[in-house]
Parts: sequence; structure tokens; C-alpha cells
Amino acid sequence: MTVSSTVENISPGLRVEVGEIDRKLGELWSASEAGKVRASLINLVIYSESKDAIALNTPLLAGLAADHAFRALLVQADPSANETKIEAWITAHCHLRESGGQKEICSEQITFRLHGPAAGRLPSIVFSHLDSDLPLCLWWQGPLHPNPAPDLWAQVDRIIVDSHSWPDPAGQFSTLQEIESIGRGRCSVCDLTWTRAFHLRYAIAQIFDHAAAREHLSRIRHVEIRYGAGHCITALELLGWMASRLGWQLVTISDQPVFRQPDGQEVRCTLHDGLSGESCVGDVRFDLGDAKARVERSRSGDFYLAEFTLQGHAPIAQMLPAGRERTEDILLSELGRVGRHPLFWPAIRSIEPLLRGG
Amino acid sequence: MEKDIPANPLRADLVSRAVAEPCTLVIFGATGDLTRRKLIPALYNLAADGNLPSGLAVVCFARRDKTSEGFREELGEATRKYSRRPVNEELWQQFAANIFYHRSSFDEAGGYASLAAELEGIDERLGTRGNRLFYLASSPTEFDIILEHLRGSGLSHAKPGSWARLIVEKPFGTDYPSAQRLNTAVASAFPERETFRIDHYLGKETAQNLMVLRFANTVFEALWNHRYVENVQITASELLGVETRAGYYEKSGAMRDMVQNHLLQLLCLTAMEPPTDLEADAVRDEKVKVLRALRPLTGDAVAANVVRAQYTGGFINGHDVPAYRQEPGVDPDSMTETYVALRLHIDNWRWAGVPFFMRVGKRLPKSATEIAIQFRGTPPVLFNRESQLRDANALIIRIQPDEGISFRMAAKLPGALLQIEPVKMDFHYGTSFGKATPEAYERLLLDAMSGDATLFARRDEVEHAWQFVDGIRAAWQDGSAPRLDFYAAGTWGPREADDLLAQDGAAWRRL
Repeated sequence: MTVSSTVENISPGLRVEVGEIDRKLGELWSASEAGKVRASLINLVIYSESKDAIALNTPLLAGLAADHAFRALLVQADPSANETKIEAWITAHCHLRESGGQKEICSEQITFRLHGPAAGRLPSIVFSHLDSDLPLCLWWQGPLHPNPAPDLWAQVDRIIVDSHSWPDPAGQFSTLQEIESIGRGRCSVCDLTWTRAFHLRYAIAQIFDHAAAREHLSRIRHVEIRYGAGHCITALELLGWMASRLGWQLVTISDQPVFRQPDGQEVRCTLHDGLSGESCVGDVRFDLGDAKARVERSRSGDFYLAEFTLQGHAPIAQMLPAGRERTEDILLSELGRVGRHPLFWPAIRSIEPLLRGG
Repeated sequence: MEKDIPANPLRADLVSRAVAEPCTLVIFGATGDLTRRKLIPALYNLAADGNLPSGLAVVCFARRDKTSEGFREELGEATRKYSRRPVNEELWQQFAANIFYHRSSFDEAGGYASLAAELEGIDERLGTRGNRLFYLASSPTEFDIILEHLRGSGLSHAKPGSWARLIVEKPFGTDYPSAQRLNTAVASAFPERETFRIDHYLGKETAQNLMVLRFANTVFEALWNHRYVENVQITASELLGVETRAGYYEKSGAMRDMVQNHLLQLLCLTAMEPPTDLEADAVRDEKVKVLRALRPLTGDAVAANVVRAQYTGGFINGHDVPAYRQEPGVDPDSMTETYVALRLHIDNWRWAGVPFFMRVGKRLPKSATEIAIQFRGTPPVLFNRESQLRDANALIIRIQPDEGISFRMAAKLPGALLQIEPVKMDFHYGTSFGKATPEAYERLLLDAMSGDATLFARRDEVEHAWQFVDGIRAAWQDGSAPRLDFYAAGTWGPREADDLLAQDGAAWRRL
């Protein structure tokens, strides 16, 4: 029985028969050393059709377990395979949690590889191996399947996706909306791309908490957003958030879109993909007439520097946490959050024509 | 005059609490330990979490001759030592740039006039909008003079559209008359709604979780009354002795140091009725009702319901420790209590007949603060013929350390025989939620900046608590209560404390 204690681990653990999983997990815990505690706050199902899914997600889960206990079902599917086969492995990820290092907190991981038509048995595999009474979060890696199966999605409490890599974002958001409606209010949607920009939204909002800056909020004439390679959707979602919160209407659909404010003034937007480093989006500038505002990464990269400058005055600056952009950290931030993202869909609707335009 | 600024539409859904407003925090007595060990590290951690308002300045008001630059360096060193997370130098430099040292004695009117001018300048530069948060971190003997000058200089009066708030660090008086005097002095300068009396126990995560446990779960509140509860035990035990606080502790003793504030606050949260909403006054109204319903302990009732004791020499973790009277700075004939046990009754419908036992002490075998709800046993038929099962069910709320909740219940031992043993279901904050818990001061400072007084004591709470405690202390002083008992360091207190519970057929929980 494998009990991993490092984040380097990429082995899915001990190979087991699918029908033996519960018994083998029971053996794992009865055989584990004193001082190991099994903990779980959620059922986290990860579905991927990538060949590297197990190698990529196992260390990610090992790291995640240090901060958010779970039972993970990692499912790698290969629907194109000819044979019908289901393979399974179990493992646990343990971390010293208490000061003095006396107690190891462990999360379970059950890994499945579904070959051929067995990939269509995802609901059966998932429902048979959930930890009872805990919320079900399903992280769907890669593009969503069209015509989502109601039997699975009706049971999901939270669907996690990452839209920045979607080839057809408009179509995928439409499928996502369909999935959400299957849950009849049960399912909340989380787009990691939206979560990834949380700290940036926070820093922008913080600038306009300042009384002098707040007065200039309706005077935004130009917004410039610089984003990292492959993160155009992140930049668009950020723009969608501003537009939906400030009542802007999209009037020019192009790669340099123009919005109209409620008072009729236009807001020109410039999106560049030249952000250096590995940041997805992290340099936003506002032209506010007689004032300027900007949010950019601090020298260390750990913080955003949020600055407002009124013409003829010294800048008012504040440093705010930038958060980390590793998927593991973004996921952790999302799992640590309670509730829904009520501003997400309004933001997407604000930029929908831009998504269709590619 | 500040203009009314509409709400920031970009702020929606980014935080689920009230947003702290731009302000200047003025700390009186800023060269003391509290500022270095708690307040500045707490503010730094709030900055690191992005929880500080867009404009914040800290003005450190103290007598000693220092410069802002020098004091920032001192605070930087302290923050590196006491912060719960490593200090990021880039953030510290940005944060520390808005810390200023203001040298003045507390009784110097000119010092307050120059403070007012400095605050105006900060408002202009940093956009703190005339909002002031005055923190009394000095010795309580200085409170009166500081308050008088704050009033006299006009600093306690907020400009229209701004606010001026006061945070008072405990002790809030040393008895009922002194608490009344202090509260009157406070009220002469600040309205009650702008007064924030810190009891850091209320900032602890588990103390806050008490209301959630009771009022967000169906199962507990239904049983939370005299029909199902046999007794309630509140324990605050400390492994440490008096350490370097002999000067203070000799005058206060356990009753004034712990019972009057922390333990009575925990009692209130445990025993109060559901508030009508989560507004500060709704919660505090319910807490005050508990204090008003506490059966007074005076005269003979003190002898029957209160045990006080002092530790003698003994062993802690196998090491010799001296008696209290041999500790540095302690009077060799000291009669100060280092341990108190009480049996309390809350004379209301919910708690009629249910004893609330409290114990607090130094040099006990381990440090722990917890609340235990001991449920009544099932009728003595079927499985409950054996006495040990009579107290099978207990709900334990651990405030510190190892914050969490456990529930004890009876279970059948596996096997052919019908043998029943108590088992425990355990919830540990640390196990379930990996992220570090903020320090109590972080939450409390943030709440004060947001104007949320829920976790702060109101004037009537403080005064009712003092009235109750004064009755006991009067009996100690007039000799109507037994003299001091003694217990060996490293034990769970004097035998008399065990006897107190035995009279009700109960026993202290083994921690």
C-alpha cells in the first residue's frame, strides 16, 4: 500500500481491482501507522482525456492535500481505445499538519483509467466511490463534451473548468451554462480562469475604494490590459467584469473593443499579449481624464502595486497580494471559497460577442 | 466637509465582510509590548492578505524620544520576530512608510494639538478621509488623561462624513466603581457605538464558531437547555505560572484577570438566546441578558459556590517549579488567588437548575481552554443501568489549543458480550482546514476599522460582569468566605474544587 508524503510522487499507488477498492482502502487505514489521520472535506473528481493526466495530476493532488483534505477520484479516459477496460489504483497523500509534526493528515486518491467504451461509464465509476455526505466537485480538464449527460451533472455540486485553453470558448460557455441548468440550482460553476484573476480584480477594486479615485470611476476613457501568452480569455473576462459592474455596453466588436458608458462616453480598450514572465494577466492601466490608475506586478512578483495619480498630486499607492498562478494554488483558492460566483455570468455575457469573434 | 461617495461597484462579491474604511490608527503607549508583539504584526498580516483599506496610516504616540525612521526599524524587527508569516521586505517597506512616530507625553495639550495637525496632513496625503481609530494601549492609569485631551483637542469629534473610534485594551477597570468611572470618561469623549473594548478571546476562531455551532446546526440548539443538559463546564487552564507579570497579577488575581472578562464572555456565548440578527447590538443584548440572569454570589453563597486557591511548589512536566509566593515580585505572604472554581446558575427559563462550573488556574498540568456541555443520561433502564453511562454524551468545544469540537457517545464494544464504552467523534480545525488561522488581533482590528462591534464588549456587559465579580470579592474581603486553599503546581487544583462538583454528583472533566 502506498502512502506518499512528498509532492514529488507521481505514482498512482497500488493497483487494485475495481470491486476491491473499498476493502483495500480499509486495509490501508487499518495498517497505517499511529499518528496518521484520514481527513476529507470534499469529493474531488478530476476527469481528463490527456495521456499525461495521471502523471500531471497525482503530484498536484499530493500538494493540494496539504491544505485541503479530500477524497480524489482521478479519472483518465481514452474513449478512442478499442478495448473496454477499467484499471484502478489507490494511494494516500499525507502531510504533517500540526506544530511539532506529531500528526499526519492524509487524503485518499483513487485513480481510474477508462479505456474505450468504458469511458462512458464515468457516472457509475464516480457514484460508486464517493465519500458519503461530502460535496462533489468535478474538475473537467479540457473541452466539455457537447450534450452533457444529466445523470452525472445532476449530482455535481461544483463544476470546475479552465476556459483559457478552450478552442471554442463561446460554444464551451454555452455547454457550461447547459450543465449548470441540469443541476437546477445545485451546481455552481467555477472557471479557474476567472479565479486566476481574482487578486487582480481585488487590486483594481481597491484603487477605486479611495474616495478621490471613486469620483473618477465614471470618467474611464481608456483601459489597457496586458496579458500573457495564451491568456486572452483571462483578459476578456477581466474586461467583462468591469463592463458588467460599470454598466458598459459593447459597441465595437474587434480585438480593440469599444464600450459605451451609461452617460454615453466611450471607453476604448487595448489588449496586448506582450506580458513578460509567466503571468496570465497583470498589467492594467486606466486613463481617467485628469487622473491615471494602474495595477502592475511589484518587483518580487508577489504583490500587485495599485496606484492612483491625480494630475498635480503625488501617487497614492498600495501593495496587495497577487496570489500565485500555479494551477494547484488557483484550485486551492477556489476550494477554499464558499459559495458561488454571482458576477461570473454577467461578465461573460458582457463580452459574449467578443468570444464569438475569436 | 467630506462629500458622500457612492459605493464602489467593483467591490461587489470580492469580500464577504464589511470592507475596512480608510483611516489613521493612533496608538497611545505605542512603545509598549502590545504594539510590537501584537498590533503591528497583526496589521502587517492584514496587509499581506490584502485586507487593509486603501488608505491607512499608523501614528504611534508615546513619550520616549524616537524618530519615525528609528521606530519603523524597531517595529520591523519585532514584526519579523512575531508575525505569523515570514515578512516580505518589499511589502514591509511599503506598509512601514505610513507608520509615524509622534513624541508627546500623555498630559501635554500641545502634543494633541500637533497630533491633530499631523492627522490633517495624513488625510491630505493618504486619503484617510478624517477617519480616526484611537487605540488605548497605555497603562490603564493613563486612560483618563488621554481621553480628556482627546476630548479637549476635539480629536474625539469626527467631522461630518467621517468617524472617530476608540479601542480600549483590558482591563476595563478593576471593579464596578472603577469600570463605571472609566466608562463615564470614555462616554464623555466617544459615543458607545464608536467604542470598541477588546477582549481578545472573542477574536479567537473557535469562540466565533460557538454561535455558528449553536445557531447554524439543527441538532445542538434543540438540546441546548435544562431538559437535556446536566451541567456546563468552562475551563481555562494554564501551564505557566505568573512569569514576569507578578506586579499586575498580585493586584488582579485569577478572578479579575480571567473570570470577569474572558470566562464570563465564553459563558455568555454558551448560554445566550439566539439574537434577532447578527448586528452587534442584537448579539450583545443577548449576552447582557445572560449576565443579568446570573444568580448573584454574595456572602454565604460565595462560601458554598466558589473555591479560590494558590499554587504551592510542585512539578510541571517533571520539572520542579516554585510556589507562587516564591515567584519573583510576589509578596511572600500573598493571598492572591491563582485558581478559582465557581458554580454558577443562570436563572432563566432555558437554564433553570443547570449548574455552570468554571475553573481557571495557573500551573495546572496543561494549557487548555474549553467549554464542555455535559448532557443528561438516558433513563436507568436497558443499557443505562451502569453508572458510568449516565454521562455518556458530552459536547466539547476546544477554544485553544487544537481548536475543534468533539462529541462523546456510547458505543457497543465488538463481541458477543453487551459491553458499552464511550467513544469520541472529533473535529479539528487544523485537520480539516489547512490554512493558518488569523490572530485574534487581526480580526478585531479589521472589525474596528469596519465599524463592526460584535466581537467587542459593550459598556453594560463590562459593568454587569464587574458587579457579579465584586460580590464574590467582597465576601473574600469581609471574611464571610473561606480563606485561600492551596494546590500543588502540576495538579488540577485543590480538593475543594472537586468537592464543589461532587455536591451535584458531577466531576470535572479530565482534560
